[in-house]
Amino acid sequence: MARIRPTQVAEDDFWEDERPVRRRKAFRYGLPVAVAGVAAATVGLVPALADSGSPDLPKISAEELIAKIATSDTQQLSGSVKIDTDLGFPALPGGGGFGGGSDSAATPTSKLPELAAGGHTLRVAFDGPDRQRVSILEEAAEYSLIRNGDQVWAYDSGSNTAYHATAPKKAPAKRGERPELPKDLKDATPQQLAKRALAAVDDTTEVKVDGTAKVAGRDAYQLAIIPRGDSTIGAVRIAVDADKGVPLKFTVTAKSGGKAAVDVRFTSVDFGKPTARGFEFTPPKGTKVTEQRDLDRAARKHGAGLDKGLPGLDAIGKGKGKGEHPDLKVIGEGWGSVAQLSLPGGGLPTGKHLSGKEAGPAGDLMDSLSSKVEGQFGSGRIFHTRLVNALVTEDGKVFVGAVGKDTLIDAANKAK
Amino acid sequence: MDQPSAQDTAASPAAAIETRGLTKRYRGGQLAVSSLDLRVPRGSVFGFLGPNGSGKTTTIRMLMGLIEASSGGARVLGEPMPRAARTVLPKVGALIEGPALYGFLSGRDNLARFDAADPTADPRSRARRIDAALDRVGLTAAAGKKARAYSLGMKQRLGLASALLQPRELLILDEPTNGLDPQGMREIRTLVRELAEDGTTVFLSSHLLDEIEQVCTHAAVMAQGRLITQGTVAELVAASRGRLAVTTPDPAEAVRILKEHGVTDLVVQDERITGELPSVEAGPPEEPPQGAEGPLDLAELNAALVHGGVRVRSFGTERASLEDVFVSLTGEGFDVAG
Amino acid sequence: MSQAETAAAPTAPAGPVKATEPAEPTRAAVPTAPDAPRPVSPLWTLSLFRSELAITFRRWRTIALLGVLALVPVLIGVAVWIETRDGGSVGAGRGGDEVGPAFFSQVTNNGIFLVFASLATMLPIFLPMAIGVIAGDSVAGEANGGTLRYLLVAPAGRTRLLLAKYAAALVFCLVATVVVAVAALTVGAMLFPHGDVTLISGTRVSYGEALGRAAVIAGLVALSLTGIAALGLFISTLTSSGIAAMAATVGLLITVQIVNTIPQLHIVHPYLFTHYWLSFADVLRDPILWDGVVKNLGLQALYVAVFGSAAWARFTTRDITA
Repeated sequence: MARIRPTQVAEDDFWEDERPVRRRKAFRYGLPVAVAGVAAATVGLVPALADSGSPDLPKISAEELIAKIATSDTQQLSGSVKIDTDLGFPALPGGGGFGGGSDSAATPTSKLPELAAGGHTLRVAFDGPDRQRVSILEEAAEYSLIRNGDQVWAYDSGSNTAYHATAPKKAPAKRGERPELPKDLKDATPQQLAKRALAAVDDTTEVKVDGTAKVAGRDAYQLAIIPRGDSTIGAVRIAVDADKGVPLKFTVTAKSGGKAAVDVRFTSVDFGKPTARGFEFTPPKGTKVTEQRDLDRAARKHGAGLDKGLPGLDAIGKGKGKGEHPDLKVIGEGWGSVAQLSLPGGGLPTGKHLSGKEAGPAGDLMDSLSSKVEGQFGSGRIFHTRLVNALVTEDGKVFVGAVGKDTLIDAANKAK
Repeated sequence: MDQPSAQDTAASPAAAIETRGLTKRYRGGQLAVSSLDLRVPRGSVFGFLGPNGSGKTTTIRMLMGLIEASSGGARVLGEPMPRAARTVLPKVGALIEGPALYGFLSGRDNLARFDAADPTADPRSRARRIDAALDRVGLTAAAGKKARAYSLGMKQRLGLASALLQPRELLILDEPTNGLDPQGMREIRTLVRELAEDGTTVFLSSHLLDEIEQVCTHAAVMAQGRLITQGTVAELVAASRGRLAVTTPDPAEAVRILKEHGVTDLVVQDERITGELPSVEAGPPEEPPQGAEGPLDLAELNAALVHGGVRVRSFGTERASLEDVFVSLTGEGFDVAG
Repeated sequence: MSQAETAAAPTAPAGPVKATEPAEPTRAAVPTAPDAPRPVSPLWTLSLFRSELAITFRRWRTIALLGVLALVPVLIGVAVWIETRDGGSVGAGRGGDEVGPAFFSQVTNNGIFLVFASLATMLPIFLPMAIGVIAGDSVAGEANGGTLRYLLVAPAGRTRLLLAKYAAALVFCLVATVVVAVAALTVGAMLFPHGDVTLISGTRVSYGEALGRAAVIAGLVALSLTGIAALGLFISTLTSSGIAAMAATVGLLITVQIVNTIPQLHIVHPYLFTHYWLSFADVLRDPILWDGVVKNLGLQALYVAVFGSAAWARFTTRDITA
């Protein structure tokens, strides 16, 4: 057969080179896998490393630290605040949570309840007592409260609406007339929360310095406030800037443990003078503006305002809200105080039939959210969350506090 | 990696294409090419023959680095493929399994596209080279037409043109006359001969036996993934001995005399007798051919016939065709449609 | 990588190439096989990228895609204009409770918000869908048409071809975004007021600064699409059917967008390439908030690295049988 034998050329290893083709292919696929692995490791490690700072600071006593907060004269500050709340409110179908429905007018009171659930980012800027702004960052929108002198503006970019109020020239004004930045929102900064927590310090409380921490890149002391007695609150921790005396971080942990129920902290902070243009607001052409005096007129027509505030924080603030609402009473002192109010409808939605079997699906829902209790006051239901418990009685009274079930029942019995 | 430059000098006088044990097994176990040892000498027009599905295209794709061999290796222009694809392929023009074009581009823009893909192609001479290639395949007039409006023959020509955009050392043409009319086929064959005269090695795969016979100097035959044979066309044809053909009005007597002289496999068709001449080495030993000095002399045979009173109208051997070669090698028909 | 880079272009002086040689359409113009290697300039390798761009943008399909993308901002603008012509606000007819899509309500303040509203509307589906079509078809379409084998024997080089394909897809990302932005800017300027712009933080900036921010946003939106472009390219190397690759890419996009809206799956949300897309809106805050933007860009870079290298691994080892 005329087969031509291949002649030997180019004496090298080529023909003998048995290349493991499959292995080489597998090696190439290793590259994307390695990239993904490195990325995953980075995502896992970097935050862990970033949080591990525990700076060396000179020793300081709790009293000195509290004094440092009190004497802090920081007037200018800007930064971002991250708020994470996990109060353990049951997630209701429809995602309504517990907050009031969103008000079409850009009034400040309609925004606070939103902060009580999930994570939020705020931006704050203070420039002396006259110029302040706080904004809640939303996805592709922002809600800003801006005070410049006697002008208070709120601008909700999402709905393109604005709210305007004029504070009287004479300060300080009485409550309810909003002399400064509406307190509800300002309450959401670590400074205000720290003030209120410290105000609640009494002999039922242990206060101590609990090490140091790094917050927003700054060195800080940690002040721990631990309530004794029947409180659902395990500890309140405040990280105080070692240099400026400004609280940078505020956390509340539940006695039941777990991650912080409330965690408010600066993620970035700057003690320089904020830019002036942030305090100036002129409503754009197409924006709907609601004037406070119009709201006041409307409020007089419709009766009491809906401003209930945040019960958990109210409970922390001693005596806060007293006399603010005619139908709100505070029973007890300090951490163990219980707020009493009346439901507008007088009783639970299911009326007297609070048992699941009688009330069908709605009753089942009730059962899953609450437990039935009885006492001298009659019967009612206790709604549990991690920090706040509420007792709703058959006759439409509500007792709320950061306290255990027994304290609530006691309060109800006393109120009877 | 080894030094390609050293190999270059060592291998340049070698074959244009050389494979050893080249094997491709597709996922699923189907063996497309089985330990192929192919050698295409430089300067040859090499016919790569085989029915459809015999592994020709898979071999070509492995040579071009499109498919990775399961085992074995291949050298093209003396360099290993697919490792040296970057240096080898610019010197190789290829038409693989018919032309593929961008329908929304004109013929000229199609060529520009393929030329731009070659990093060794000078953009400054691109227009000139495209014009030359279009002219060479006779497509200048249709160069501005969108390729989707081309006939199959025009597409085939444009594919050839893209293989001719650069001076090539090797042209690999897979079924280049597919879809062409007889006139087009003749033109392509003429083109191939011209290119070969210029010194380009042409590797021509085809299932058309007469095409290979007309154009090629060398040939290899594939069947079912295996190389059946390879060599020069002349050798291949010679290896398959021609048949003796005698026309005579006295067939019976002729058969007797031919048998005496060792002619086998005699077939009588009316006045025509064909038979297998005894081969030199395989001749029946008990019946040595007359004139024991060499192979059976046809003149002697003819004389013997005439001497025996057989009236011979015609006498001679029928030249074997590649088809005969193929049939004799594979023992099966060359089913082109299969 | 193993594609014999050792034998790279011997960059001989590019002088002897006779560029001025008269066009000579004769057979002599295809000379016999030369013994010496042709002088090669490394710049010639860019020809493939240019050719890739030409192939992408000369196609009717691409023109049609861009046309549709340009039409959407026009429709949004006209719809908002009709709804607010009589002084109403967006969504007023649906009960004040419902806030429209991002930036819609501010379009009546200033026409430039139509740019942001259009980008915010089109970024979740329309824009990435267009990218998915282009990127998904990039390799698979060539395989489908058979042109891939001719590009590879030219030889384009698998890595080089893949890079050219991806670069062309990136250019398309930018062009598509700019087409949307420019169409929106034009329609916005015609139908709505212009002048100083109130940012979402309530801060007022000049129109010039707002235009600068719009340009930054267009850049960010284009970069947001680089991840799905890499994903589409990878899918495109898996199959020889352009339609299948396009459908798979777009299907994956829609799946990811659905997963991103399911709160129970929040654990995986930060890893979805669409998750931080709307972070471009943070450029409209004052001062600009970069956190989300940085996260978005980082995530896109990760997708580009992972799926780009996966596409490379697949394409450089794949048998081209089409």
